[in-house]
Amino acid sequence: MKKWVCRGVLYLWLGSMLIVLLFPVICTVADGFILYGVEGFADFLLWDPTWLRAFWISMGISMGTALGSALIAVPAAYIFAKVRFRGREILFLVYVIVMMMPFQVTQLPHYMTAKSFGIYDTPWALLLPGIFAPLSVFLLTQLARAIPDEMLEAARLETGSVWKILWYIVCPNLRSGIVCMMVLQFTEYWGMAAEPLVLMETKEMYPLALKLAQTDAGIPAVAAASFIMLIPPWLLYGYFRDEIREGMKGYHL
Amino acid sequence: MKRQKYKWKYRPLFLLLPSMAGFGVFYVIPFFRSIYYAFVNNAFRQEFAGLQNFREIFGSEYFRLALKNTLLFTVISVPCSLFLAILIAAGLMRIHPVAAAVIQSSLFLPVLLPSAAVALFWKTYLFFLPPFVSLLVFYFWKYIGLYVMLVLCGMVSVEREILEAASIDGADGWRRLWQIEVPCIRSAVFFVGVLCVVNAFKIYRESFLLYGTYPDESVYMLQNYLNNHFDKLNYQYISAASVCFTGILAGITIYAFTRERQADRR
Repeated sequence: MKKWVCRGVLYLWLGSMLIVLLFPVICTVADGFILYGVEGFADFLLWDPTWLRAFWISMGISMGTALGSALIAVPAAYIFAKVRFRGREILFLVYVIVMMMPFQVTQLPHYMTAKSFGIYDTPWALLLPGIFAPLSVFLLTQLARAIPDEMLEAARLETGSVWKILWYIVCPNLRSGIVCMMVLQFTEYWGMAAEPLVLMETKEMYPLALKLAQTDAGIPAVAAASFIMLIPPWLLYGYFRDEIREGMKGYHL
Repeated sequence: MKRQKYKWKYRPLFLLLPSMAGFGVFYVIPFFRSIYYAFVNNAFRQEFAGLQNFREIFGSEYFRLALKNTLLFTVISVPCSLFLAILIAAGLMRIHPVAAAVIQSSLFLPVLLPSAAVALFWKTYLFFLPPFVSLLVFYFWKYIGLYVMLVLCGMVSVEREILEAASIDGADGWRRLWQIEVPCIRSAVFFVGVLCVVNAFKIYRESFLLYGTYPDESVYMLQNYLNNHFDKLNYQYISAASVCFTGILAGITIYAFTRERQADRR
């Protein structure tokens, strides 16, 4: 009897947390889909082309960041995790510190760099720092530590090419980590609003999140845009749930 | 012996170059430039000003308000979210695994969803909350799933024998949680704590989405201070404030990092 009460309390507790956390999502979906359905989508898709444009700008930046950071981070993670060299820990610590910084601290440096490279007010100003963001290197390094040394050793005896080691040993072993990292990067850049405000000037080039925050369009269009904005991360999470759960195990110091 | 020698002979360090080059150009070098700006009197004349900028920002009423609000937010949100995350994770450990998996993955969803998309919900349905509370709720909504997942990763790895021994010794669920499980995963809890602090500092994004760049006085955060000086081109004040900010966060991170490495070595 007591056991049943305990179990009931547990389910009640978890169920209530679940409802509280999902309620905003459900309301957003309901607003966009049912309450303002046709009108909102018509605004988004037909009457105002700037919405779709912002959508594709966001998509380009997020996809580019995810793909680019995978290319950059996998070799770096392999070196950090498996090759000893002087100053490795210190260097890695620098990555971790930068990873922890909120954007407002780095906005002035980012702004000055973008200005001096002539990429200010273009999507590159968001994309390039995103590709080199330290989160990807950090996560993959922590996961790459788990690759058995014997496996790498055996591969080294078989082949002299470090590219083959990366492609045939490191990548398959890090598969779920790479997927998880790419999803995290994608969603991070998909949802960013404060960064483009600093690094861009032309309103027509704003990504979707910032456009949504600053728009003077009516509620139907905003509701539809909010709903559409939820879809890509939601789909990604649906497809890659197991990989993300696996990959998040590397998210520790 | 020969194998050992082979192991360290070939070190393809050049693989690190692309990452380090980009990281240096976009993050490290600009940061040192901003430290330089913290010590000059303004971005155009660039004369050495010593600690003048620091004295000025700490003398500024708005900076102190921002500091107070940010600290208050951190002090309230960090213990609350740790406590909540541990309670939820402990609950998930004690129910049917299938139900736990479903609930846990639903809890993680908000971490990935863009805040900008649900800001409309906050504006239309939660407008009656005071801004500070509203922001706290947003913080919990956004990050609690991440914390639960990380705590859970730790809890799964606690050895079953220890828990069984505790049960045999007569510890009930509640005491077992706080006296056995949580101490066993203290390094995970500590890292989640660090993340809580860092994310509390990152709450500006949500604040910006809800209240724009000039919010109510109760949610005027350090980041608002930085942002508004950025708009006024007072680079020297932003840089000085950023240096303080970086000092605090870097201190916390370095402490966590070295602590963890020492624990590994033991």
